Amino acid sequence: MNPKNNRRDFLKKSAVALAAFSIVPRYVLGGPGYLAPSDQLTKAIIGVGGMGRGHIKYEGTRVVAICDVDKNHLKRAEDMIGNGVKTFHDYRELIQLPEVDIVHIATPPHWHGIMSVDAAKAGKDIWCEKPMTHTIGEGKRVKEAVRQYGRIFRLNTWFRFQSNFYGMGTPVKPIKKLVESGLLGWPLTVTVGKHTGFDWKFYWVGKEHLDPMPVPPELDYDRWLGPAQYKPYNPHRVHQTFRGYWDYDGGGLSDMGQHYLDPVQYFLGKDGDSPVSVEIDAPQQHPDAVGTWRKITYTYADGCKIILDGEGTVDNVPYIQGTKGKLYPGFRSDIVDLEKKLTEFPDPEPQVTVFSDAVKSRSTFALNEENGYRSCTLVNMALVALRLGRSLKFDPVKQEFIGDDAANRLIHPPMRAPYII
Amino acid sequence: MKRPIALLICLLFMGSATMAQRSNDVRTVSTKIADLLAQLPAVNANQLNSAMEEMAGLKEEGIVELIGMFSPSGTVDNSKLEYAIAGFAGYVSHPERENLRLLAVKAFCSGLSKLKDEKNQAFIITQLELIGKDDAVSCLQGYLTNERLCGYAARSLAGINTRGANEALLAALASANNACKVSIVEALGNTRFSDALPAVTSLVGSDDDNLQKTTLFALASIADPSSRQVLEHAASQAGYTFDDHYAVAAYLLYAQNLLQADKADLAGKVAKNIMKKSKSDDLVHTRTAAMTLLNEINGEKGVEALVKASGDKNPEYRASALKLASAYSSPATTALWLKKLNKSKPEVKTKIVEMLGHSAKQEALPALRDLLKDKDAGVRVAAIDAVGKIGQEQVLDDYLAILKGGDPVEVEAVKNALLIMKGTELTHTLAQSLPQVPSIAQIAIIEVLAARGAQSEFDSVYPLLNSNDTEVRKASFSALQHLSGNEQLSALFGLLENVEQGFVPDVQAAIAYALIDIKEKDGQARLVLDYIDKAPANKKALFYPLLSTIGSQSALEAVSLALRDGNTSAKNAALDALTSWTSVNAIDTLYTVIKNSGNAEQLDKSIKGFVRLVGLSDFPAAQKLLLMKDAMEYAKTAEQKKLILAEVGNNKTFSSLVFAGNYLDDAELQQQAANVVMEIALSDKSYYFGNIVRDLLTKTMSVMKGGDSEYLREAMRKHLAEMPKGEGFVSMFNGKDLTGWKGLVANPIERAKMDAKTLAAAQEKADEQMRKNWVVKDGQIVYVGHGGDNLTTIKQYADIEMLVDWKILYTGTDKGDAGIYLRGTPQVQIWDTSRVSSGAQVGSGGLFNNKVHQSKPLKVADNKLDRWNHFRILMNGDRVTVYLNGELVTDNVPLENYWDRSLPLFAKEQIELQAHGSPVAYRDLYIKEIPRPEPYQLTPQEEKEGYKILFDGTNMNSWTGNTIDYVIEKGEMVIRPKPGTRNGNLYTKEEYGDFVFRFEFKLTEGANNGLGIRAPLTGNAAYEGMELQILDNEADIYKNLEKYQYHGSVYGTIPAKRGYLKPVGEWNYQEVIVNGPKIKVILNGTVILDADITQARQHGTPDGKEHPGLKRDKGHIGFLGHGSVVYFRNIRVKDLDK
Repeated sequence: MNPKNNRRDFLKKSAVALAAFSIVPRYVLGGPGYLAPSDQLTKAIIGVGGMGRGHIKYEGTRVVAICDVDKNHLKRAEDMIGNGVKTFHDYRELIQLPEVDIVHIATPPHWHGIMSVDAAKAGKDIWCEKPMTHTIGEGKRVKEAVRQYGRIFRLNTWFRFQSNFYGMGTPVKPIKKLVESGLLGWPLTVTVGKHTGFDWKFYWVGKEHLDPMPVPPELDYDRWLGPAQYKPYNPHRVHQTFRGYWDYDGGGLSDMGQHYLDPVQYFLGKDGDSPVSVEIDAPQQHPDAVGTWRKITYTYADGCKIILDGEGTVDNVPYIQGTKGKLYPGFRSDIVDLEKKLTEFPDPEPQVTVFSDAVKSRSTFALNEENGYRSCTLVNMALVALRLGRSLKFDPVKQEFIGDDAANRLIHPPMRAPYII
Repeated sequence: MKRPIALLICLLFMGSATMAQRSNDVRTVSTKIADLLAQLPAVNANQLNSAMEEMAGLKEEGIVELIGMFSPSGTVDNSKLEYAIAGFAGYVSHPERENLRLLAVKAFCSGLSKLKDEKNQAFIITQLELIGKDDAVSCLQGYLTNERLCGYAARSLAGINTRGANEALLAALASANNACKVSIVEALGNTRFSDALPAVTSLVGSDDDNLQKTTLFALASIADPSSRQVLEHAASQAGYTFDDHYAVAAYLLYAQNLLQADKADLAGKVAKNIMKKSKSDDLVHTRTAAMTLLNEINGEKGVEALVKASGDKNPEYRASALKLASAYSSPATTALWLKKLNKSKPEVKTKIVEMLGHSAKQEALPALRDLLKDKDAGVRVAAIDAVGKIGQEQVLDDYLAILKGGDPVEVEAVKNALLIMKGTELTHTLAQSLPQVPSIAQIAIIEVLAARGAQSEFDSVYPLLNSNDTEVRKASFSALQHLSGNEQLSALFGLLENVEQGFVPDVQAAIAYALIDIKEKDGQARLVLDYIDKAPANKKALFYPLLSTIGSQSALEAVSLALRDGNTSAKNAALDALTSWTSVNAIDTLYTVIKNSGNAEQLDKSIKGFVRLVGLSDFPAAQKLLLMKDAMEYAKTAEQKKLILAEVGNNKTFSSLVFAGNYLDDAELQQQAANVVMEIALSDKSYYFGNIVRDLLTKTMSVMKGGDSEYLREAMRKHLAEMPKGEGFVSMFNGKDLTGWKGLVANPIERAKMDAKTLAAAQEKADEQMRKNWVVKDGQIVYVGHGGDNLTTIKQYADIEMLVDWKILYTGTDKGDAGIYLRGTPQVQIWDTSRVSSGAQVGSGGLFNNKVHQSKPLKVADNKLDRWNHFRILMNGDRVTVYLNGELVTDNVPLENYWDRSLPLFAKEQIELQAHGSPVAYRDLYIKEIPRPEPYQLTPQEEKEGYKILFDGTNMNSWTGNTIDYVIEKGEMVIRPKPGTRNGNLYTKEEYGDFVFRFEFKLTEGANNGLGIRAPLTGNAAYEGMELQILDNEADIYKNLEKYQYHGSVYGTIPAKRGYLKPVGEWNYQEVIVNGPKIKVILNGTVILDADITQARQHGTPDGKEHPGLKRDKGHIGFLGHGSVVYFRNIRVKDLDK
């Protein structure tokens, strides 16, 4: 069915050249501008709405195909890219293209799991926007499929390895170094909210009552819904406002949660762990429209806590509170001369942070299907608690809720046929 | 502001709790449903639980009735019902509420059967997906053949996943249409129902792609050995490549599930078969999946296969094999890998080395050390990385040898390994080796020393500042800032004056770092200033940047001085230092720089520095806004203005909102302004309302752009829809002329005496005078006259919140004096605090003319002359609260009637801007009127009988004692005790012997107060006078009361009848008649006490305590606070002695 794959030959060669290094030194890849277009990795984007179109231009990759269920989106992206980019309506056709190396998933979250798994089965490497998956169960399947099919997966949030971390005014690396140094003591409580610089975007909520409206001709609404159950169309459900509906996302918590929580999980050393409980303080949630919450508290078995502070009622709260010291935004601390003391400690282990390098050298990317699954589970377990209106206990080994049938049904709710994962 | 809402929520909650507890509930079901829905959505877990308890109380028929209330979709909003049903599903799904779950399923099923609308049916079916067990099967199975609802029903049954549910799915399969079949087959796959095997198998080969896909998936999930051929055939048809039917994936899933079902043999056969069929490079992922599966089957026994795979011709496959291998770390497996190493090609070798390093296999260390000398560069680098990870400091000697060798790639690798190496020996060892290694290694070592902050190795690096190698010099200089401490300071200062220009920042950074060792900022500054003094004029500039990190007052003074008197280079350096200043003491100096800034670059830097420091400061929001208004006056670029607006947004006040609103029309600034307006307005629903807010939000909605704008608009629409009614703040000044203002005629008392004609004539004269004295300029009202002349509002105001900026203009004399008259009465004071001879050093914002009550402000919060100040003035009754520049300076103090001190303050009068002979300016005036009832008036009957009003809702002029905690709110007198205090006694100024006292009061839960009669102003009024209890004696906490403590009792002496109080939160009317030894209390029309204290006067009281007050024949009437909130109103008295 497929013609012989020339891209594979290229990959084979470059992989040999790069095989030596888990951290690929620049000189191997050459300086800036070294990559000739023919050596660039090729990429296909699924979902070219606002998010997807923002991801067209990345160094080291070239877009060869795009897919969207909205004809207007597709047209706009096609015009932007030009160069005979192939356009698709059904992503399953796109992932079968032999010339595609990387599939970039920029759809609403309810599609992330299915598309990632399907792309893995089709032999593609995957770049997936946050949140990684819409449910814990989908996350498990993505993790398994990527491992089984030997794919390279990147979840696209980056604070664990790059950029200043919102209100912290510092990248995560020094925070990681600080935590590993033990200067703050153990266990730690991390508070993520308004006073530590993190905005939960509570305006990303849904409407409780939507009048059914005719589907616009450019949109294949049924395919937009995909695995989500059918509900009558209203423009507020789709495109820029889908985040307000449980069927597709989970408001600010779901969309920003992994952004803020993944670095926390990383510096707490919890990349292979999950909390034993999630406690919520929130108003009752509508079964369709996402609402707000006041506080969410995660507790790990060793006593570490992550507190999501929704309302920001407590002023001057430390970002990290340890038994021996506190860290405030801007790397301020009650430990005298913290930065000086900290330099004596070794740096955290380096990570592969350029996706095209990871693909070429077949190295695990810094934020991948394993740790990405764990940080997304933080988000998704809170979503389950919010929807059920109660706090929950979790088994981090089995990765399911303890003795709670309903909560476990929400780990992997059945999908609308014919979508399977 | 928040209090009433909290109270309301609290009351609501209490209400529902009482409802639930009602033993003989006579409400009809529909009333119960309405009461339930009124509480939804619940605001918190407690309220949710109590609402759901009520819902459980509806029983099956009630819940069915509730479900019957769902309207067809699209017509009426069903959301309250959805909250109820989904809330109940969540509630009963709790593992400990099985009985309620049974009830819910029964009721949902029964309700479902009566629904007609598909959307509503789907909603209930989805709820059953969460809570259903076998009990939901029979009601769901009917929908499996309904083409619109079969999907929902199939998913619900799959969620239930009992034998019964699966049988229902299977039973429906035959008669379902194709679309429903797909749903049912998928559900059967998810539940892995093996009985379905024949039926599902019979569907293989369907023309319907979806059905074929889900059928293969279901067979793979059920994983019966008999399905192998079918699945293999499908995979083979697809050429073992990914296809629309997911055939290969299904075949692999099948093997996976076989393994889980303890059929490892067959699983292995399938995996091997797939492996064989996917040899080509384009199917490497499929081959990998098969290898992964085999690895799962074989465990450690399979490592040999992985060793073999690590040499495969396909690099992707090799990489996957090594990833799988890293899970096994026994010595035996390591031995296998070491053996493989020798025979491998370099690219394979490299990957194996990496894997071994990654898994930190100790026994591999010797072999890996040997590879440090491998012929292949890639292998060597991988080995460097691996031995470091495994051996840590054990391999330092190997690393030193490599450093001496000086191969760039290897040196880089060693450096990277050292950066993450644990241990404390390495820094010294490395530093010692510096003289013996080539330049390239020197650089690497210096970088490692710097990264580890190896202060003790400073002396080893120092000589390299003079290295012949430029790169070494660079590295050494840039390392200085991580290696320097106290002891190196003098060397560094010396260096600073002599070092070449390019290294100046490095040395400065090093000094700044070393200065940290001196704990006191002043000490740091002294040291630097000392060097500045000693330095030659052309070198002084080098030291100023150090001052900005120190930031002390002395440092600031030195920089200010340099700005004024220094030469050009010193000035520039001082300015740079100032704009990057780190502490907030430089804000004023920066403002001066902004004002006098000569060029665009200087202005830009200083504005950015200014805004940054204001942001860092802990000034109140009002003060920060004033500073941002100052900055905006001078800002030139859009970038500067955006920065300012962003900081304005951090300070959520009404004034900030309006200020940002001014920029909604500016194309460059409107997005920033829109964000600020929205964030402030939405931050407090109860405070941001009225026309100004509405207009600004409406405008914001129309200009806002960007990805989230649709959500934001929605949030604003919601805010507008829920906005409290009322005018809110309105502007008192249009910025252009004096519309709404007039001149001042006499004072309120005299004005009241004038007839209309006299008043009109006087007003005309006064207006003419006003036009001479007051002008409008640049959006400000400025007094330009001489002598005194107040500008007064045409409108009269009662209770208000007023916002105004004011400024005393500096004229060279210290005459600055002004004020704000409230209710036509002087005044909230404004004056030049340097007027010490007049006592102005106390600051502005006090009630200057008060004689009895506090007249001085609580603190000095004035800004300098010629700088703007901001008042937020709140007036409730005759109480005034003033915030000056965000600081509380007058706290709920009664304003006395200056014009006739025997009179209470006027209930309503004009507001006046005072001028007292010196120039003063006002701007940005806004006022919000706080509605309150009309002042209480006696009935004609009472008037005739000689009653006098003690409290009419506007003032507390008749009262003395604790006038702080008894406040006026909306025409009511409320005691709001400070937490933990109990002594809230408020007395009439006058004494009464025999009298009739009428008043109304409202209790809060458990409230306790008392009516003191014939009491002295000091001592415990319950004993020194008499106390008639005011008490919520129905509260639980009072269930063990003595009878003589009930509401209305003469405390400790004579009991009153209990049971005539209105419920908490409702007004009670009480009349107390005291006549000689007789005391009568009439509560809500019932005489609850009719006592004669003669007996008690002679023979003592039941509580056995001394009550000397019984013998008094007159005294004050008072409210005796006991730490709880109680409301009073309409208080009047008839003195029977007169």
